[in-house]
Amino acid sequence: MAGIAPRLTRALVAWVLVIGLTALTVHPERCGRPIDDELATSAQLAVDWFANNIDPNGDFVYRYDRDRAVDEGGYNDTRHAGVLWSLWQAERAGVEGAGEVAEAGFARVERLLKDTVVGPAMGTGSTLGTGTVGLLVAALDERRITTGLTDQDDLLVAFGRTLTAAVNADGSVSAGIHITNGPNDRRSPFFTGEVLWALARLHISFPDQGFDEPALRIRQYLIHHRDEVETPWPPVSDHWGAYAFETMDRWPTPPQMTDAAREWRRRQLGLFSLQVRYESQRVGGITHFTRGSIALAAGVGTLGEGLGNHLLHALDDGDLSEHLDVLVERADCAAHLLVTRQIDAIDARSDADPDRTLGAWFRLGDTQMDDQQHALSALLLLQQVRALLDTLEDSA
Amino acid sequence: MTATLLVLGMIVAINPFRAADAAPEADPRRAIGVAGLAVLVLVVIAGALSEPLLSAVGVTGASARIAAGIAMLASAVRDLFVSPDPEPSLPGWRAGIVPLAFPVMFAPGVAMLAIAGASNRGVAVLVASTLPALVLTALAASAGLGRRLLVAVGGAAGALIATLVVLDGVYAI
Repeated sequence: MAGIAPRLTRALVAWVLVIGLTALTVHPERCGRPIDDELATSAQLAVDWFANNIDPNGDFVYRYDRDRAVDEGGYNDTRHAGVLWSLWQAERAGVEGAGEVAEAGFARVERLLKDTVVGPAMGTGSTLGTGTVGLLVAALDERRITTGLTDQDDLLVAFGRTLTAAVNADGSVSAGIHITNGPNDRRSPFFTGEVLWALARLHISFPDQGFDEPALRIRQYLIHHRDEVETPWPPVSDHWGAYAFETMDRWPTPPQMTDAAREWRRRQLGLFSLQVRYESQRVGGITHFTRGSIALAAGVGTLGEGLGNHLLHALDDGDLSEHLDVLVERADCAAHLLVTRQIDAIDARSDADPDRTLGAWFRLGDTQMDDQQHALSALLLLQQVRALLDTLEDSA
Repeated sequence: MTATLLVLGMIVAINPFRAADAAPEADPRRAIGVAGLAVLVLVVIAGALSEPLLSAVGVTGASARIAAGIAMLASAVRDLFVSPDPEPSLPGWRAGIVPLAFPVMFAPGVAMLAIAGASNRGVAVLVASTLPALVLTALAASAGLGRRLLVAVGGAAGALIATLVVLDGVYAI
């Protein structure tokens, strides 16, 4: 019996140390489920931010410092195209004034349209991003669906030809197109998904133009080779790929969900899910040291976009049925983080220029237009998911 | 978390070689039997408390697996690098309670894996997954396999499996 008490004491100390170690590394997750009205209000505020922060040339305020009340300038045309997509998405969802702002923002596109050797593209400089063209396609196609207007159909098809030329034989996508030399050898972690999504959309709107073939080639590359060839580590959480998968599922003849495709989607969902869990643990205090400061709203928004799109797809697919509740919970959590972090009227009242801050998301005092873009899209996608879930429940 | 990973996790978290090392020389079978039963009861309790416990602290099942992996890793590193000291023991069959069941076999990694495993696979699968570890412990003790080198091998395997448990939590949907 001798020595038992000290031994048990040592064991208890070891338990406390191990539990302390895990408490330092695994934190509680602060998640919630915003009600539908909160999602709608938040989306409206984001659209209002764009309405308040666009100039007569169709340019948005790109980056703004809240603490110093300074417009920090800079611009990015891929993000401009992304904003137009989100605004047309919002218009389709019934958010007031979104279409008007999107039309106004098209002025920059018209001003910066350029002819390259493989077709039209947009931007400044001599090399133009394929991702920019991809997101413009998404925006214009969404406008076409929402308004019924076909005045940009020729441009849409021409953009499709440009993108097709940027798809290589192995399915990889050139990140840039030089005006005279054509597609280059550079790759981008996000342009591949953006171009795939654009071609997938175009195949629905213009089914006789052959956009399905390059889209399928990219899809194969994305599933089988992209991560290995381009970014072995860390793996890319590809929200644009999620948009593409959801869109391709709506093709008249959707591509088969092979085991590899399911595995890719599952891995992607793991990545989105992990990041939502991690982000929801950032609540200040000790987590400031163990988790860092909060992520950009653009980043949190992409998590909601990835989850939202895969959910829309998965609701049609028994593969993930056992995880649906968890996935909805994660998407709710991403939306909760966005809703609670957005600047509302009370927060903005004390700002030097409330028009620059109301409806925006700030990190370390800065906001960038894509913060509003990705957050807006994530909130709208969650609304869509909830509507679909309600429909499915009603029909069941 | 697959049932296979849970089974392997339980084996390395308990580390049969370390348990065999701590078994009393006199009547080790009886002590191991008592220890096995006690550990099983503790695992069932931890598993049954899993949901209310995780809800109370606001941790998801996936994060609980990360926590379990970290706790398992701590024990595995100890087994890998630190020679086990002779354990003070209660007399007779009660050696199955102290030191075998606690603190040797029911370590923090086992408790956390039980919580995470039950949250993910249910208590029934958890119990079924714990049995092979207890059987292996009995076999190791009967065969006198409580040797330093084997304890370290168990620790090395534990480190590997603990890492897999962490990754399972990281990539979980």
